[in-house]
Formats: sequence, structure tokens, C-alpha cells
Amino acid sequence: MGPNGVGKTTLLRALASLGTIDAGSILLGVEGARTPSTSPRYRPRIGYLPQDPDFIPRFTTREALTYSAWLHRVDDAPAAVRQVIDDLALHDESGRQLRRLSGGTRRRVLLGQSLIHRPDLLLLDEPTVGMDAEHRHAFRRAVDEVAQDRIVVVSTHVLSDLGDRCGRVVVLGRSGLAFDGTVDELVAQGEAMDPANGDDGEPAADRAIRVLAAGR
Amino acid sequence: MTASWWWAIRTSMRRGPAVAAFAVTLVVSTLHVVLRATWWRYEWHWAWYQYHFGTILLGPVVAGIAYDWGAVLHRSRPVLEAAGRVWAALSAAGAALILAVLTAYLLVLGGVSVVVGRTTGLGPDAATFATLAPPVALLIACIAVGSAVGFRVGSRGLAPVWAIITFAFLMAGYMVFPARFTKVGGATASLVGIRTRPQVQVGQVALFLGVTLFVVGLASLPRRSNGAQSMAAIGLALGLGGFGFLLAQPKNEFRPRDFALTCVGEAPRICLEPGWVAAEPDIREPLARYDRSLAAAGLPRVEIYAQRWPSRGNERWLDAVSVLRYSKDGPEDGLVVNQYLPDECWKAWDDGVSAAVTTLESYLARAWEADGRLKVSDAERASLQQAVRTIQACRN
Repeated sequence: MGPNGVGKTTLLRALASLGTIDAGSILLGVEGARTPSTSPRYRPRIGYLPQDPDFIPRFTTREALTYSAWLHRVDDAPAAVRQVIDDLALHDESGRQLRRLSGGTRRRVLLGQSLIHRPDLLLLDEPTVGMDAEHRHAFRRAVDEVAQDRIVVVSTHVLSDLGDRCGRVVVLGRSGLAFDGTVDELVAQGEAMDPANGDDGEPAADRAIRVLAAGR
Repeated sequence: MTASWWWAIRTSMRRGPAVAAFAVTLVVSTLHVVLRATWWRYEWHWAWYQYHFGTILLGPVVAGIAYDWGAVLHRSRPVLEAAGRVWAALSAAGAALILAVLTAYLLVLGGVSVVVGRTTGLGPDAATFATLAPPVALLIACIAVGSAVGFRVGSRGLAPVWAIITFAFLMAGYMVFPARFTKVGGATASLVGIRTRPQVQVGQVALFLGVTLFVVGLASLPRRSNGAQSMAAIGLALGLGGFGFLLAQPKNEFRPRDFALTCVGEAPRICLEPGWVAAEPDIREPLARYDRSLAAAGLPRVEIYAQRWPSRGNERWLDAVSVLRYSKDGPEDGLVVNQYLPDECWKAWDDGVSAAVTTLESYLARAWEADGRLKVSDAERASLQQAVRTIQACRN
């Protein structure tokens, strides 16, 4: 988490081995692993839903998912597509073209594209931006569903984007890591902080993120 | 079972602009055929080479369509990059368009071939088939490069601009540089006795495919992709190799070839390349009229007209297209008068030669209309024979 411009997208792109890293390295896997995430052998293990994603608008939902299965060289594409449609409750939309879907439903399809190869690590960059409350809720449910058997990293500046299963929150500030702990610990820190003038109604966690990210 | 390349291509065809590209190619290619004279119908090589000239317009049009398709794909770029297979997606998308365009292009060429086959009763030779390779490679390059540029730029509104840029590039390769770079067709005259030079075709194919691989490979970077990097490197080597190879070729993209003529009839005897034999009656009709006119005036008659340059023995060069094209509307005096005019006359053209030519032309025009029923007085006969002697004197 963190305010706009703090580098959340850059970090996620780096984790997804998109773009270049100026310094340092990213290691994925068990503790002690020494293979950078940029190694091609990690690609099948990572799913990435970029910020404000889109896809060929005339493709149907099923075609978009099958296309991603082809891109990711999934062995049993029809089974993988069926599984994602089941997981994300996309049955009614499977034959509809993406351009005919609402923004929230389209985002679920795109989430399905990033899941089609059953990655161990799923990276979601501001996944609910632009969604109304109903779609935001449905999307969170979908993320909770897929988080049952994999690690999901969600980049957001909205605390409510984090589903019930969120086990760890990292707050990025202007000068680096500002917080690393559980949601409860974040809320506790927020409650311990004095509300600033005019923010009496601000939830404790949001207050904590704002203050921590600002480095105060 | 893995979703296959073929599935990806088919789906891209169905959901992309392939149908529109197919229709546009069909219309442009057909118009190119029907809006121009069809004298090529007597020659396979000429027919195909002439047909390929259409790529100078078709290439930019499909490049514009491909650019737009690439710009649509641009919206999917993050999804494609995340899978690390941008080059694969671009290749499948491009292949869908290429298949549609080439299918339409070959369909119309099939129609042209039916016309030639029915006219001549013959089939195409290997050299004719070889003319197909450069325009196919050129169309592939136009589509692939258009898709790749559209994918990188992403602005759909610039598709017409890209079509114009492609047209300018092709015209530059056709006219400004030695023509062999992008000239893959376009004969306006018969190709009897000559064939396209295979070395030029090999160089063009290498150049076009090299450009294709290089640009698609570059468009797929900077994502770390060994496939994209290899593609760009191979494309660069192939393209530079083709460019250098073309530079080393003679400027003329044609080569002479041995060929046999089929000679038909007498007074005059007409010798034609086999494909043209079907047109012999139409060619003979005006030539026979002139022959009768020459005979009526006691002038030397042309014994053999032959589709061969340079002429041999007592042959006269026969430009079959000119005979067919111009004799329908009336006498083509120069056609016969030129039989008396050696090259030297054109260098030493003076009032005497000019007057002699006018005398002959005037007579042939009147004789054409009368078709053998013209009475030639002794005085006119003498005048005409003197004119022929004047003209032929140039040779000495």
C-alpha cells in the first residue's frame, strides 16, 4: 500500500520481471533461493494483472481466456478455461465479447487471464480502480477465492481492496519501507495516532497508512 | 491439449480485420485487372508480372489495415508482456491478416490464370511461378511491419498516415533507387523473349523477409525475450544480405531467354510465341490488308513477321500488341512504314526521308480503306517505289 507515485506499480512490474531493475535483485521461492525472478523458469509461476488492463475487444470471454492459455503454453487449455470460468463465476459471460461487458466484469475476465496458468504468485496492480461498489465487492470475492491456494500480492492505496485473507500489509513511503505487519497491527498503530485536524472520521488503518507513508 | 498456433491465428482472423482485408484485397486486385488493357492474356509471364504491379497500391492499403490492428493489440500489451510472448501474439495476429490478404490475392490471380489458360491453351512455366515470391514477401512485409509499428505507437488514428508512409517508401524503392528494390511487377509491354531475373527475386525475398523479422523482433523488445532478440538479429542479417545482394545485381531485372516461335500461314508468314498463336487470325487480318496494299503498288512485301528482336534474315519485328491495339480503329501506317526504316534513318532524318514517309503513309491509309480495290496509277506507283528507295537508302 501507499499513496500515488510512491512506486507500487514499478515494484510489481519488477516482481513480474517486466522492465529493468537499476539496483538490487528480486528472489522468489523458498528462503535461501538465489535465482532472480527474471529467470524465464519463474515466468510460469507468476501471474500479473496490470493496472488498467485491456484486451482485444472483439474476443469473447472464452476466447480471451483460451488465448491467454495459449500464450502461457497451458497443457490442457479447455480444462484450465473451464476452471477459471467456474472460479470467477463467468458462465453467463463466456460467450460475450469483451466490449459488451461492464468494466467490472471485464476486469474479472482479465483476472482470469492472469490466472489461467495457475501461477503460485499472483500480482494485482490497483485491481479495483474505476469499479463501482457492486463490482468492487464481486472482484474482492473473486480474489479471496483464488487466494486460497496461492500467494496474492495486491498493490492498492485503498485498504478495503484487501480481502479477508490478507495476512500481511507492506506500506511504502517516500523514503522506502514504512510498515511491514498484519492488518491488525496496522489498525492498532492507526488507533494510537492522534487524528489530525479535520480527519476525525478517518478509519484508523487509513490514518496509519497516510501518516506512515508520509514518514511522520 | 495446448491451444495451438492455428487456433490463435483462426481466432485472430475471426476477431480482427481479416475479413475487411480480404474484401479490400479482392476489390483492389480485381480493379487493377479489369481497369487496364488485357493484352497480357496471351502470355503467362506477362500476365502474372503485370498482376503483381498491383502490390504498389495494395501493399500500403493492407499496411494501413495492419497498423490499425496493431494499435488494437497495443491495448493488450501489458497482458501479452506478462506472458512474455509478445512476439508470438504479434506473429499470430499478423499471420491472420497475411492469410486473408494472400488468399484474396491468389484468388484473383487464379482468375487471371483462368483467362490466360483459356486464351492460350497452355500452362505457366517455372519462371512465371517464381514471379510470385517477391510480391508475396512484399505483402507479408507490409502487413508485419504495419502491425508491429501500430503495436508500438498505439494510436489508431494514424493508420492512414502509415499507409501513405508505406506508399512513399515503396515508390522510393521503385523509382528513386534502382527499380529492383521494390519493383515486383509492372510490365506494360509484352515479355516475349525475356524473363525476370531469378537473382533479383531471391534478393527481394531476402530483403522483405529480413525487414519483416527485424521489425517484428524489435517491436517485441525490450521485454527480455530470446525469441524476439533472435528474430531481430536474423532479420537484420537477412535484410542486409538481401540489400547487398540486390546492389550487386545488374540494373535490368529481366534476362533474355531462348524461345521457339510457331510460324503460321503465308503472305505474310507470321511467327508467334505459342501463347499468341490464338491471336493469329486477328493479327493477320490487318497485316494481310497492308500486304495487299503493298502488292497493289508493286512495293516490296514483308515475307515474315516474327515476335523476335533482333530480327533474323528477312524477318520483320512484329509488335503484336500494337497490331491488335491500333488496327481495330483504322490503319496504323507507321506499323508498315517502319518496316522500311532502318535504324540509320532515324539518325539521318531529313526532308527527303520525311516526304517519302508521308507519301507512303498517305497511300497506305487510302489503300486500307479501299482494301485492295484501290486503282494505283503508274505515276503513283513510280512515286511510291521512289519513296521506298529513298527510305531504304539510309541503310547505305
